[in-house]
Amino acid sequence: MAEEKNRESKSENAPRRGPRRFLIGANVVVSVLLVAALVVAANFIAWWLTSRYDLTADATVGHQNSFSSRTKILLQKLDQPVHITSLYTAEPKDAPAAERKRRVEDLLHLYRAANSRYVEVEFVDPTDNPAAFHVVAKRITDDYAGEAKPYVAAIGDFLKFKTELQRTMLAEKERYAAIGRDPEASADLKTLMHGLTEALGQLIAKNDEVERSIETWTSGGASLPGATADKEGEKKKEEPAGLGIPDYAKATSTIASLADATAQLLDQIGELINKQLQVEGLRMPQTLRHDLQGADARYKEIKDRLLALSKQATQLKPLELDTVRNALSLDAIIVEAGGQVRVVGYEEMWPAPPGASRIDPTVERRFNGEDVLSAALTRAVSHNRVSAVFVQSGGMPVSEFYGRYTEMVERLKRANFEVATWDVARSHEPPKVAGTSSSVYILMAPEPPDQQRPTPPPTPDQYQSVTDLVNAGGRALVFCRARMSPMIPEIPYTDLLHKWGINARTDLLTVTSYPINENEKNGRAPFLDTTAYPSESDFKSPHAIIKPLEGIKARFIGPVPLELAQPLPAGVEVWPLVATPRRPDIWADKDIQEVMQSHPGAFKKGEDLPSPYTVAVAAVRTANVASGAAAPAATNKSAAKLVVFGDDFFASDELMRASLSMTAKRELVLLDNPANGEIVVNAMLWLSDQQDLIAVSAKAQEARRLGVLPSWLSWGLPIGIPVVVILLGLIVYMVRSRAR
Amino acid sequence: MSKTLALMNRELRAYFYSPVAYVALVALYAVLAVFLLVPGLLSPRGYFEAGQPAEMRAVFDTMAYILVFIMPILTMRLLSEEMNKGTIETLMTAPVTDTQVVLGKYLGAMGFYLLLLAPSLLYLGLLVAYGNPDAGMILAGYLGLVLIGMVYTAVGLLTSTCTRYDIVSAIVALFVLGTITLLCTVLAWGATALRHLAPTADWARWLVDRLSDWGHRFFEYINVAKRYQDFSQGKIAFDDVTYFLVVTALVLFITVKVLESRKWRA
Repeated sequence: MAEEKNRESKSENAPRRGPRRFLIGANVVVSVLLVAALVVAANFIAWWLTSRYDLTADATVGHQNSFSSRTKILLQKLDQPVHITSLYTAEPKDAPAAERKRRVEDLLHLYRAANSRYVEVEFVDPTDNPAAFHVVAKRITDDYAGEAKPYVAAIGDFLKFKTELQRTMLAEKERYAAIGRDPEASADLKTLMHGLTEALGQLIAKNDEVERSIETWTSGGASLPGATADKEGEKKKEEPAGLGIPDYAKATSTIASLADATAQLLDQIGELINKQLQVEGLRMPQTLRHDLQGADARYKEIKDRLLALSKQATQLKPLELDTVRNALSLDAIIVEAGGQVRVVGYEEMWPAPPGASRIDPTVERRFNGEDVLSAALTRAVSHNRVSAVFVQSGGMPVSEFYGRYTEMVERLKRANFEVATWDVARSHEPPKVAGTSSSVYILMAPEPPDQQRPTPPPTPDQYQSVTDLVNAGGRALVFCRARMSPMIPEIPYTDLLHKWGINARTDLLTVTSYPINENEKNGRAPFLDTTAYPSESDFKSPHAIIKPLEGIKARFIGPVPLELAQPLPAGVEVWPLVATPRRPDIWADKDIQEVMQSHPGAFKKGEDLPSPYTVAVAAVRTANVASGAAAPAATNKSAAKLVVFGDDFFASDELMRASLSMTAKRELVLLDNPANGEIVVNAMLWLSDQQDLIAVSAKAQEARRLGVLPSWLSWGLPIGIPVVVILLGLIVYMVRSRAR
Repeated sequence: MSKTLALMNRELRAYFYSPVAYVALVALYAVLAVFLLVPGLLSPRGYFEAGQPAEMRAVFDTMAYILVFIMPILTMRLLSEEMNKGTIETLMTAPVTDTQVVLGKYLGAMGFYLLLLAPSLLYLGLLVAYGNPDAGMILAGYLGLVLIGMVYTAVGLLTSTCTRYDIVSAIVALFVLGTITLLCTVLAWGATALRHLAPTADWARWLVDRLSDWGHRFFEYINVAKRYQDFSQGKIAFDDVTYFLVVTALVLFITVKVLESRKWRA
């Protein structure tokens, strides 16, 4: 009975189940769609809020995803509009190029976000959109319109004169052609006339050609940038150098050449005619003689004007616009500010690693964007420039391209210093550097004498001028060096240091001991590695120069201890910048010769100097020390300032640039001492009262690398983890099998 | 809540008794070892060698892709096994809601996922011992891995709810995860390449340009792996975190609805 009822009720429900399922299903679908819509809305709002208010946190300790403090300060202090244009281009198939372009664009967006009031960014792909590039080129040309005025005037003068010149040349050509056709003319005269007609014809054609070329150069060129297929069928970028930007220098140099050549030809014509007149003498018919005579006089005015034109064209000042145009290429960045234009090229933005080929497309390049872009921005907007004057006595200038300090020079230039050299052996007067308001003197330790070109060792007298300048409130960065051999002269500015209460112990050399076999640790080498500044907490609070460098590695080569007088001279205050750590394996060794010859040795009590001690200091002395009235202060702009390093090798290219080195395992390891360059630049900024720009550059932030680790660990750990998991699984399996 | 936690504990314990979990663990770290040791894959030389950057960025990026293949294996049996063995009926008649079942299973799988990441801390230990790694960058990387794991696990759980067969669940999950990671990368590239059609008509060129631009942005936006890259670089963006959380919530919501549908479809 009950079964029957059930069956009945089921048969009653059966027709209703379909619509009910449909209704529930529709309800579920609608609810899922609603939630999905909510998800889309939430994502949109989150995206809008993130891009509008930059809701992105940079979790990195070194702030790698945000600007370095130096860039932040620079952007905060901007007081004029800056226009940054990216010329990056990427083929859709070229993934690395697309990634480079994306990173550059991200960086430029960051610049705009950091100061949207003054920074404007633009992305122009010259390959896809040549018209947009022409607009940029026109803007740059307009920026330099004032500078180019003398060039434009010279070109205008030539074009005006050229019409007159052509008319004269044509008339002369006709004249000589008519004489050549005259039946009374001798055969020699006919030949000469024919030659002159030809030469003048060529000159006239050349004039027309030059006019056309000038038109092309002054309009900025005609070729479009683009991609052309090379032999391998790969896309090869064509440089758009000069595109849309006039090449005035080329135009004026061509005018000068043409003017010189024309004047020379006219001279030669005059000479040839005079010779012919002398040869033929009275044999020449009167009418022809009349036509030929007076060529010199006719050409004189033209020649004078030609020579004046040539002089005008050759004496023009070099154009900044030329530098900009020559630097322009695809994948470059243009920074425009206050009528100044700086171009950041691809090689600067994406430097190849040391030793790697620049043309190898597989080389993994490092992104150096923020460093070079901020440097370009600094140079474009800066009103106050300081000269960094390398002071040396005799020899080749150390700051030049063949010297040991090219990287230091490059970094100082990027930090907006104008670099100059002062050879105190030749002049007692410091060099005058155009466009700078003050100077910081960099006293380089004297170089060992050159065997082939021996020069007398420097004397303290030679340095008297610079010593006087510093004592009178000047600023100096001083490098010392241990007397690693008797050939190395004593530093000639010890008197300057003594007056500041600083004694550079050049008879000692900092060494670090290392194990020369498994049990014994008595090898010693003249170096000091540090990542802590000034190294020990018992010193005063870190100085502004080294404060941002904590954790970034510096390497010094055999720095000498810097002892401080107790008490310090009146009005002098000294801060330690770098000190050796309180460790028994680091000391200042007296046996410099033995250390340099790699003789093993240990610390000798009573002879060597134990750690800790200072190897770099910053010092301030007020200008009115004599009265003793004012207390010294690091921020006092009238105070004299000194930064002293017990080592000069640390600032050389060998240690400032990252380099590849072979390890004992015959592997190449990248040696990088990122703090070396930072310390020098920060010291120079402090010395030049630009301490608000002291910071760590983006480049140094990235320099966190693995030290030397046991080789078994480098492969053992990745392999060990899965092996341990397998063992763990087996143990669990066995335990469970037994339990069953 | 206690019911959800009880379900989570049960699920987590089940992982330790399952050979599949060990296989997944071994597979993850064995593949990672290949990437770390073979020169040219993650670095020109070995990854943990003197002079190499003291960071885990490449490890994290690689793990995000390997997990696309590992997570379907880990999640395939979450509900499909219950359906296959018929234990789902017992579970459904127990005094727990569908939401509690889904959350319990999900949290259990997430718990095991976190344990799966734990051995990678040994790499971090090595970096700390022999280098000076950027702690913030590494923490952001782990946060990203947790967020990406939340999405992967939710997708795996959803596909496991849709079928009674483990393998089918794993294959579908692999397809979905592959779509929101690898395929999106390809599609974003394809959208950019559209520009090269370069039609002659102005309106057509305008249309192609817009399609290319929007298509590229869209596929980049939904690309889970692409979003993850910001975390491995130490960047934590509000929209990225929101994306991972709301997508996880949506997938779990759909999972609950699919599980519920067993009642009214029967």
